[in-house]
Amino acid sequence: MGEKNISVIIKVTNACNLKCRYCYDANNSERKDITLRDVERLFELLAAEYSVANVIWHGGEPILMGKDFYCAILDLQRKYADDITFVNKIQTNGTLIDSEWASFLVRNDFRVGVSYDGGDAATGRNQQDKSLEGRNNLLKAGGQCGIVSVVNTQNIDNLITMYENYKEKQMNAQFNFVFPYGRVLEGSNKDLVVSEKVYIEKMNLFFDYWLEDEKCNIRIDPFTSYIQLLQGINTKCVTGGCLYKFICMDNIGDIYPCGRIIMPQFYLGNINQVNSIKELFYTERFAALLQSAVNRRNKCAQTCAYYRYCRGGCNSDAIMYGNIELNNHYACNVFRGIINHIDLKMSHYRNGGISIQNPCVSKIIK
Amino acid sequence: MDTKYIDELKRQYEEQNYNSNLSEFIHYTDYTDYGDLYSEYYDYSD
Repeated sequence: MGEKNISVIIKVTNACNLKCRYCYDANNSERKDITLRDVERLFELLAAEYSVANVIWHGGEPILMGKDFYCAILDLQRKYADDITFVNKIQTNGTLIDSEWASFLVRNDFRVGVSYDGGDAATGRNQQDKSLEGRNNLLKAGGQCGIVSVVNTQNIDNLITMYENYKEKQMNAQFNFVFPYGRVLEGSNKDLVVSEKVYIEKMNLFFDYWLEDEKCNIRIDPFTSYIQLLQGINTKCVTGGCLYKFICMDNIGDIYPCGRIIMPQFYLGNINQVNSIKELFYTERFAALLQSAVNRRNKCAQTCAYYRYCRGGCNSDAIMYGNIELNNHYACNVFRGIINHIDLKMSHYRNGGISIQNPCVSKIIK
Repeated sequence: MDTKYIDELKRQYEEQNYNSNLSEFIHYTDYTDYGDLYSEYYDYSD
């Protein structure tokens, strides 16, 4: 047994019951589900090196695998329980979470993230009423979930309305921009991508509203995590120096450094062809990735005042916007535009002796 | 594969983490820290 933690994204199937227009993970190939044999081999290797594994069940749509699959997974985890603790998290569109699923997830301590864009179908996400129903079923079963919302041209003007909706339902939410990969590159789907300038402007207006909301009862990201970053506290993989701390196994047992870069040049090996997790970190492809990440961060450190907050940012973002050594891309500019605004705003409050109205923000201010 | 080369790269990478003045990235057991996921429920009731 090792003493380290690792996060493992397991993409259990490529199938999904939705076809979101902006999905970065979309593919049109025939459905292929992961095998329990591959999962067990992964657990066996993890147990030999790590003491805690945060397992993020992902897809496609992971609920499509059925409860019997996850019952078998829990049995496997119990088999290795003397050597490793598994923490189960699942990212789902929520549409298939009926009362039985909700009870199962709550009973077995799965931490659930539901994708939901505020209810408006024009955003490119279908069946949002079903997503909300899934979330409500979790609540009835005594559980909770967080929300991931994708900000695009169809909802960029409604961020505050979405926030009020989430607040009423007490749903913590993370707002993400559209990742420039997968289905969003097809035809008119490109129109969903918000320009940097508009994204920064609208998100900053949203931040100002949230900061001054004395009735706030939910956490909103990236705002909360950016306030924490300004205080030197790092909670997100995108600013965390993720290499060595994350791996992803896809539905055929192939291992990659991250769930967002399932690409041949980042393939590290198949779970049935390696003898240890450590071995994956001594492959030529991992070395090339590591070298490029070091190069980009060196470049960022020399040219960008925000490096101290982002550590050179996310490898996958850089890859999606061009190549892994790229900096000053969309994600960089959006990060700088928002965190700079938050920094100035927080300084204004601090220097002016003005108390912060939002109770959720007051609690995280040192 | 030249393990010394990779170990040296790892050292440089971790030094960059250390020098950034941010806390070491913590794998919160109650926190979905993967970038596009979010599943923690924050209790602000206290």
